[in-house]
Amino acid sequence: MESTIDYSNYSLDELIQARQSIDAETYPARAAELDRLISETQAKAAEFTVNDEAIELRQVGVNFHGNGKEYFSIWIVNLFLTLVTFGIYSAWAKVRTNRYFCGNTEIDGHRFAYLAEPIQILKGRIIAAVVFAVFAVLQMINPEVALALAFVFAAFTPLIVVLGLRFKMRMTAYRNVRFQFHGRYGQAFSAFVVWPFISIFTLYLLMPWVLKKIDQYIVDNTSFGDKSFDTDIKAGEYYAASIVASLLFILVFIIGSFLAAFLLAPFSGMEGFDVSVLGLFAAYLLGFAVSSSFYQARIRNHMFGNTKIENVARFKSDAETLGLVKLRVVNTLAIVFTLGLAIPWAKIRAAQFFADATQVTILSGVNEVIGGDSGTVGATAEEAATLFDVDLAVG
Amino acid sequence: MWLAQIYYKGGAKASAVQITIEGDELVITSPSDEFEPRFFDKEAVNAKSKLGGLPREIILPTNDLIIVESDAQFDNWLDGDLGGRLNKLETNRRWFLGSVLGVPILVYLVFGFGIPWFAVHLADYVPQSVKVISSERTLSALDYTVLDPSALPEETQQSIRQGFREIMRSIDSELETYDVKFRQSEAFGPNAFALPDGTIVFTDDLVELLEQEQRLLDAIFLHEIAHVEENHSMQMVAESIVATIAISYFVGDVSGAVEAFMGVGTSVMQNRFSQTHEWEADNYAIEQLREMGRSPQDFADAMKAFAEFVPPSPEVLSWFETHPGTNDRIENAENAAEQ
Repeated sequence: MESTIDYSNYSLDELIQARQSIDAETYPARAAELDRLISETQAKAAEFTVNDEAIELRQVGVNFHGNGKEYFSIWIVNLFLTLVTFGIYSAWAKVRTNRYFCGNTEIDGHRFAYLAEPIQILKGRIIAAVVFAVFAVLQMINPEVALALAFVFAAFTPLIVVLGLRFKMRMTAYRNVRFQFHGRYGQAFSAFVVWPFISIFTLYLLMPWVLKKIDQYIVDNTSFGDKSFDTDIKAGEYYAASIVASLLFILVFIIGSFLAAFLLAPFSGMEGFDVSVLGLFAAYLLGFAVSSSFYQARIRNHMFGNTKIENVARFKSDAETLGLVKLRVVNTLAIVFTLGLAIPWAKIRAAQFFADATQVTILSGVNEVIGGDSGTVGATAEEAATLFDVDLAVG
Repeated sequence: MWLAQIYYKGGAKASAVQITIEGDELVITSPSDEFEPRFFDKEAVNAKSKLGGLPREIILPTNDLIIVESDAQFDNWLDGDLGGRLNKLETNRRWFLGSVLGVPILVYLVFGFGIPWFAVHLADYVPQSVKVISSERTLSALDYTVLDPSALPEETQQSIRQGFREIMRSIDSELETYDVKFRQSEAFGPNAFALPDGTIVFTDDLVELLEQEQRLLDAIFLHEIAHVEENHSMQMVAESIVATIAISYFVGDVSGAVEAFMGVGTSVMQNRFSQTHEWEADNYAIEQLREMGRSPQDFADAMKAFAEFVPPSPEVLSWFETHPGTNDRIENAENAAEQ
């Protein structure tokens, strides 16, 4: 009973290593098996090298290791500290939360890491709060300024998106290699401001195409170390998803309203309180949950299925609309009825759901990925970049 | 001995290693003999603070990264007696129970008292010049949209203004004068409102509803003066800005429907703040009427006329109203009149 080891998942390096360490006289069959696999794999590798494609090492899922009980305790203590420090601790709380979710997400035996320092977050939050307060004050004090501010905001939004993504990516690492975002402001301005504005004049008929452009901009400008993400998404898919999502909303809303009117009819006599309004509101929320879940699941699946990192990884997502609807409805009800105490539990459930719905094909080039900017960017540029290393989102 | 992964600096390459502790030194050995055993002083390695059950991340002086499963003995060596403090708080039963009780209490105190208090004081710093600009712009925006020029005859307007002079003389105000304006508005119906610089607008409908009775108009005028004197509109602005920032700080990003419910929560809070202002203004009017030797009944009568025109909404919905129930306000004024 010697040849029971399954070598099919071994990489070429591992096979060679195994062959070297094996005693060919004691285990001749194993040695022979290894020799055969090595030559096969080498041949395959050679063939793929001609096509400039790496071989598939293995297909793996995304494992999420966080649990609600542990995270609840972290969340509530951090929230308490945030409240007693008048919000200052929120920067530390945010880092710990992000570290918890990144560190508990594992692909192929390796976990993600969140690298931001609380001080960077605190700086960003102070800047964001000041900017927000100034804008809000100006806007409320002088309605005429509001119009001018709309233009300022239009110019600012893409900048905030670019800086935010750059920060988020730089602060996330996998296998000790940081992600990067190198999207340009100009492209962001056209994707987030110009095209959405133009689409208004097409009665939003252009919107699905704009949404596709936005997703494409984000994914194509993201890289893992020196290897860029590459996506081939289709506008047709966005149109199909948008149309079906709109129809679903109308359908659920109409059926829901009738059902609510029917079920709530006995209570309509209640003193001065129009229950039918509540029914309509519930139907609206449910319609929104169903249609947005459908859209999100379908677009996510499409995007993942058509995205790869050349020679490093391919992605697949099989999120289901019904599963997503259930996740959202249960999470929302739980949060509302516990007055927010279920937020940590809901976040863990969501992370688990999306991890379960994702598969990654690891390609042989993964070991050759080189960590991004070290050495390629001059010292001044690096310094300037870290100056903007602030998470500008207030959230 | 612990099994760990080493990630070499600058790339995604990783391999399995074994680590052991020898006194104050961390020893890393390679089972496949990729390298000679390496020794690092505890002071020289940089470990990320312990968090939940996460594996420990240790950055070596060479910028290589070691990841090893969390383990009591190893954590203890790495963090020492003082280390892992945050983790200790996060897993300590007392802190946990204290937070579960403390958070709701603090949220109530912060949003119920802290933010309104802060807003009231912040609003004091708004200079008069800003209020003037703000008021002028607001009025011209309203004129452009929902307000039309008054259809009241000039003599009526003058006689009402003349009546208000007595009020202005009797109150103690930093403002030189209150500027009274009349407008017609379908959207507002019978109403009056104050702008922060001391401009007070009456709608034609209100003047007609009160049948131009000066004593009733005076009572309403005093109520509006209170909003200006107490700086209420600036306080509302400050409160809404501070509350928005606070919510994003404390709760962080929540999505979709939850946000809708939070929105409801915020407006309930703002309405409470606004209702407090209305009571303050009512009581100011009552107080001033008394000091002038008039009866608070004037205010009650004005509100009664108003109640006849707009039937009061049911009690259940009071959370969703910016003004207190009209019946309560009438009662409040009548109680004052009896004293």
